[in-house]
Amino acid sequence: MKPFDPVALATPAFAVLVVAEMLFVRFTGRGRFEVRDTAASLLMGLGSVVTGVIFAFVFVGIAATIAPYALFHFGWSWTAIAACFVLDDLRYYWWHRASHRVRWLWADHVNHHSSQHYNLSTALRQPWGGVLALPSHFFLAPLILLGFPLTMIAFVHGLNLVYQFWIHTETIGRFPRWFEAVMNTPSHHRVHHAINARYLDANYAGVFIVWDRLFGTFVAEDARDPPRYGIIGQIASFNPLRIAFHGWVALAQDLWRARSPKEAMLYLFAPPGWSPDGSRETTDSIKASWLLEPAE
Amino acid sequence: MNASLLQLLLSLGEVALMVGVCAVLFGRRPRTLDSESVAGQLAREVAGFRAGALALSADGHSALAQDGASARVYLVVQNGDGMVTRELKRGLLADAQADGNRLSLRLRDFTLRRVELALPDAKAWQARLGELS
Repeated sequence: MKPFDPVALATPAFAVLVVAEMLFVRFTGRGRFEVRDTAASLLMGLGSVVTGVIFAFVFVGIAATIAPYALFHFGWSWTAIAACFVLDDLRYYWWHRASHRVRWLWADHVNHHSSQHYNLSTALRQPWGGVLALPSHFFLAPLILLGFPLTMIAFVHGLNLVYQFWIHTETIGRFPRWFEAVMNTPSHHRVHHAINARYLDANYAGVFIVWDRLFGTFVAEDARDPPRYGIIGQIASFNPLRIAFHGWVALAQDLWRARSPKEAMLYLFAPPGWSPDGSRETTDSIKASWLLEPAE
Repeated sequence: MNASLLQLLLSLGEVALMVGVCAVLFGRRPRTLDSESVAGQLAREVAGFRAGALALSADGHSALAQDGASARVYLVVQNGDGMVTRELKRGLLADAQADGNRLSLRLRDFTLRRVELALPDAKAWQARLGELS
């Protein structure tokens, strides 16, 4: 089988589907679009492709350094592709979970969550500073060390990203129970993008929601508490440059003010919102406050 | 022309086209804040928030609200069809200047650096902000 880039192949379909969703939302009222938000998301997507191409050598360099130490050497076969796809999705789960729980990684990933809207354009709101999120690069190491070819890893990761595009929508309710039990769906991913206290730090899956069920991070969408989207401390800008770098600027400011190496390390590796005096909110503190509130 | 540059220009054209479609379908709907929406937003975002003093800027783009229980002060700003809230703490608020009915806030926030509010009691809010912890 000859590898190809699934994302590049799917990009025209992404554009068509975004416009189709706009029309659907306009005429049914199911979902929301805002012109400046959509423009920002689309430009973030384009910028992400450009920065990805510019800094690809970093990823390739790290991967090529690790590859000679591989335990096995799998060739291109359907079985190997299927195994690589599933393991890459498991890898994605842990990378994604870390990206929400480690400030250094969140500084980059926060961009994807920075829209208060949830539509197909939000799927394309991708970060530009991936190269700065150094610990991210090493999540691929296990797959490389197992012996999957780098081109196969890139290929299945592309498939994974293509799958995740269509789940960024409010226009689809729920699928049959068996599908919702196994696969990541719009309903599960709405929960992931929501900032309601009950939904924080949940549903990190890429393709298979079974990882969240297995590792205790699954939360079902509750019709009584419709998701509100974005981030804790919403950003007040539609400028792609400000969106792309706001997380990095905030992290740099905290590191600059750190009073000891330990404090600096905690700013880098503790969950977003950590502060030496505990004066800021973390998702844990928000959930704790919510649990203390009397039920309505 | 370089193939990569051509591809980038085509992609930019595609983005412009999609944004154009979005503008035709959804337009730019001017939205303004009201007391109810501000209080509702804070109640959703701040655990245990109880509406206290609230001042809407005359242009309807921003508001200041105080939590009746904790005396904390919150800034709410209209952003597109959404809202952005900030608890005004000393670390965040760099400066607050009142000039007549105009209150100018300067924040240490990369996406929200400056907010101008037109309030009848700007001086009183400036004094309130001066007492922040």
